[in-house]
Amino acid sequence: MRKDNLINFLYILPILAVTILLFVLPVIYSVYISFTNLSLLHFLKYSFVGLQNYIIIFKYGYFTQLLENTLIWTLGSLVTMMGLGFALALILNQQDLKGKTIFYAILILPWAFPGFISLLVWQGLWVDPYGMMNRLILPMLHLPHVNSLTSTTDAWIELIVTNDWLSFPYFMTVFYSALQSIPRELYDIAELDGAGTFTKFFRITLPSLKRTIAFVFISSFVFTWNNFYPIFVLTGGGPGISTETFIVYAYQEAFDYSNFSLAAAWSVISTLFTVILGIIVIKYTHILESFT
Amino acid sequence: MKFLRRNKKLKGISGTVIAIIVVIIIIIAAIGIYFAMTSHHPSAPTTSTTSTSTTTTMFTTPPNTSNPQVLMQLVGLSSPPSTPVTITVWDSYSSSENQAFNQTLAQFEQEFPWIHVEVTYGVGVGTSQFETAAKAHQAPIVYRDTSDSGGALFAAGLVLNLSQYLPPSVFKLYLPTAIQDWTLNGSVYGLPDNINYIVMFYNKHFVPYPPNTTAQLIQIAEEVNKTYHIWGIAYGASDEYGYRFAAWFAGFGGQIFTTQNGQIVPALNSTAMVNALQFWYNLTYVYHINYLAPSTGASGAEGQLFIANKTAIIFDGPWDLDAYLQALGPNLGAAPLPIVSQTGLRAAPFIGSTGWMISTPQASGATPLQIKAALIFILFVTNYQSDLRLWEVAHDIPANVQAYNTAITQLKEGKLQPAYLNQIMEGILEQAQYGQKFPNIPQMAYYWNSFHEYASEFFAGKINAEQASQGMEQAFVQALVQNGLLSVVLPPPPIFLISYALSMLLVPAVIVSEIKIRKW
Amino acid sequence: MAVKHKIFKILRLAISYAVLIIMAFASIFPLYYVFMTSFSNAPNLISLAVSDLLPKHLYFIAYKELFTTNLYGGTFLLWLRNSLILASATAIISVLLALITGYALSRLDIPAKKILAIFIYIVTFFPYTATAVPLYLLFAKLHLLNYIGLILAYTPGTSIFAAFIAKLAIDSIPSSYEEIAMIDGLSRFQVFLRIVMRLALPVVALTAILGFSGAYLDFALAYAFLLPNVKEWTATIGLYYMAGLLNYASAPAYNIFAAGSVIMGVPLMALFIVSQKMMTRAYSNLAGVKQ
Repeated sequence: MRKDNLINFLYILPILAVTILLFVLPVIYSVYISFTNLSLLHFLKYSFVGLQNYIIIFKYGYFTQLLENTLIWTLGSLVTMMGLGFALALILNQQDLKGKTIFYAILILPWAFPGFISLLVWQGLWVDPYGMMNRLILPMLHLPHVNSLTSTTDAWIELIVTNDWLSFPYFMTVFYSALQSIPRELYDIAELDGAGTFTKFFRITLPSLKRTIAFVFISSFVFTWNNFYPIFVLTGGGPGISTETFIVYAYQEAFDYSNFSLAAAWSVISTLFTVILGIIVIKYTHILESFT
Repeated sequence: MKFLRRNKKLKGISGTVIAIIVVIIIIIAAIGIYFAMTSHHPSAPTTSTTSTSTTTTMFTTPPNTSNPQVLMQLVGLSSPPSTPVTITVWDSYSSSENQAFNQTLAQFEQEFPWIHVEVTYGVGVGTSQFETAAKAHQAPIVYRDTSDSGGALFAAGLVLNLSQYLPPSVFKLYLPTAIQDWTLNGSVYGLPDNINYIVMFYNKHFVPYPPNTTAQLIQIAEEVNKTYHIWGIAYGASDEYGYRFAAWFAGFGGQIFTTQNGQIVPALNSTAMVNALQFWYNLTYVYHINYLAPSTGASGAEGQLFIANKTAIIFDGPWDLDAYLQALGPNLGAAPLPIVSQTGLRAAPFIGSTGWMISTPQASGATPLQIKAALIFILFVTNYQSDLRLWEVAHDIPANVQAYNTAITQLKEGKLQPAYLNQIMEGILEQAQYGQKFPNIPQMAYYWNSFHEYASEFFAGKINAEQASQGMEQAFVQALVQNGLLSVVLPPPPIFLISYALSMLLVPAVIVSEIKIRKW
Repeated sequence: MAVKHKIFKILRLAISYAVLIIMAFASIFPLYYVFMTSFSNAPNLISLAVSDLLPKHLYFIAYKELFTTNLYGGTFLLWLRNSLILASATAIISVLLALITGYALSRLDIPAKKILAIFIYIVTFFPYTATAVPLYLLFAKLHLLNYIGLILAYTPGTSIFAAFIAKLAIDSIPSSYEEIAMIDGLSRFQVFLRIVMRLALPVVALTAILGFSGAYLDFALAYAFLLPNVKEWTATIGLYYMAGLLNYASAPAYNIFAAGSVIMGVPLMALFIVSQKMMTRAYSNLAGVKQ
């Protein structure tokens, strides 16, 4: 039995080795330097300074503002993206819908196309008043202009709409895939019992998808929380710091100020949040039972 | 069934213990691996200061760095060494500049066949790529960057002090403004190959004559607005990080730094800043002659509007000249930034410089011979011929005195093609007389974000000018304190951490009062 | 009653088609932009005139620049080839890693399986921008600043996530298939390769595509690792260089950037579209249907 266990352990060894090399070691290094004063000024000879960076963060460092921003960004993006993806998946799941393949192929393009240029295109689209959004699309929909330079709300709208565009195909795929696997018989039986559309939705569809929603929510929550590029490219954290998240700020600390130790401290704090929130959601939805 | 269940339970208990042991082992192993591989005291080759005492007496007049023999003498070599030497170079030139550089490189390899040059292309200017590489002892031996980035690297001990390797007469080969940019605490840490700054570009079709004062600027812009229904000016003051705004700040009488009690402190909180901010606010929201563009440069909103004849005046640098030439042709005009009517001072942009530096052996692992080869290299690529090439091919403003004078002569004789380019370049070069030194002290790195944060809020109408200038100074000071560049009362021991967390509301008041005390 | 149902059905379908068409338009619009920019000769990304959307003239100068630039032996085609090799290798290794781990999590009895799984999952919560610099320093020490290092750096991202999906997929394959095969004399590993991989094909496809696109599109890590040698650049690095985006001093040429993105993006989009059937099945095991 023991020998078998050891051989079985070998199967999981590759991923363990890679994880240690690529995640554990850098994390340990980052945590380590967050307790030093490594920066451009103390580059070759840096010293251990204990909790000083963390004290600086809480005393001087916009902590509550950044936390608020990160939450707005993450939850705002997630709720809209998942909602949109879910709605599209439901629509595509209808049996009597024609042209599913074509629609799906088109709708998946934002995800398939290189994000690095999509972001730049969107940056140009949102220019007020010359970009296509403010010049053509928004007036067509009778919506007010969006100017991310002068208004924080506008900046968030710009960020979240763009993020939705980039990511909704992923959620659409996941939910569509999951919906397709719900056996037809369940719906048929329910209809025979006289259930209406809403009852079918709430009693059959949603419970079956509970695990999907939970799993996707956690992964995407962490991904969006750590997602740096859209904010960096579109608003740069502006106006002021009203759209800066933890990760954008940490990046600026590291690369604009060359204060690597402070950036590491911010990253540690940011990760603590994701880990704690992640553990809470995992415990609450019991999804880990199905994974182990 | 029962039997199986009991087995499972046993497995469960030992399973958890094994689990914890496994995780602990993983973490310990990881820490062990990490420490085995890193060393706190990097074993660096001792920096040998090549004594140049013999050569200094020989070169009291600026040496001719176009002569290979002279170059070798400058580094203390009487003849080429028997074994060839390789140096690594990071090239941060644009594609047009690279056309000139590649010719220079070819010439260099001909004249110094014993030096093999490995060039890395596509390096960005002002990034921390160099620092990361230096940490891994993989920095290139020769590196090109801006003078302010270089200043920070020099202060960190990552690039060589060239004053220790070359006689002072060498530095007279370059424009005083350029060498000043590359001097920190009396030591020179790089050799410039160009100077750069912003100028005022205007469209001759709409603008009859370049405004000499801000009063004229407003007048012309209003005329343009009324007559042609396009923007008079496009200047994205809310998007920028203070590089261009520094010119207006100086024009209203301000300065970025001042010294207090022997420390360098920011001086952003002044009436000059308030007035400068208010000036541009008025031009945007009161006179409606300025468009607050969300991006700068030829590819940004400002440049695009200018190219499309939708704005008459923008502030940009000669690096974008080609794009505007192509679009506007003879309608393009260039002139220095105007005089601020309120103060009579010129709006003085930063005269920056890009140039070549040599990494310290600790960062690159170079041998003394490689350092000598590197010195020869940077002297060569900044000499008269190389610099002139950059001017002729890429229109970079030369930093080499001889090349600069040749450029001026070429302009006066109208030698540039097409003919209207001469007048444009004259306008550009005229600005060089009215600039301010680009600060290269380490403190400068913290200016940008502090300015941007509050300027963008100001132009968004969220705070007024006084609050903005106070805010940016505060942020600046905070950043300096956080990074150990400004000493302030040290935080108390961690016992009080909890009370600090609770008293976060008092933080703004504490900071403001600290600053008030210091000003006093 | 039948009429009411019919009206309801028509309404439902009408709204569905409307939403789909609007979303399809929204999806394509920015991409159309990129295409148009790549066929223009102006280096702009901000279209300042509505008429730019329907250009009168198609310029191929961007594409020409793209294919004729030679940077000391580095050409765009060479870089593209490098990218494809890198991305394919990453895809293959990601698939192997994800499936082996998923298989192990599903079928095999491993001590501390649950804790290890949670551990591996939680470790990936650390932000990428914070691991980038330590990773570079670590790999510099190990002399891994090359393709092997890059592949190693790209794989865990997709593999860990995909391992869990794979685990669920393998759960749904009856173990009787394997047991019969093993009785027939195949080793566990052969069983794994022949039966499991084939039956978990949607997950294989998903992992391969995600692994491929992650490596294919990455700029930051590739730039840090591969910069010194021009001939080893990936297409993303080369593209950023040629579009003048690496150096603040040079004026960016967005039409070249758009052209390069089109060339890089079209095969990727084709890959997504071709495997859409499998992708729409990959997550089917995620739904826990309570019987």
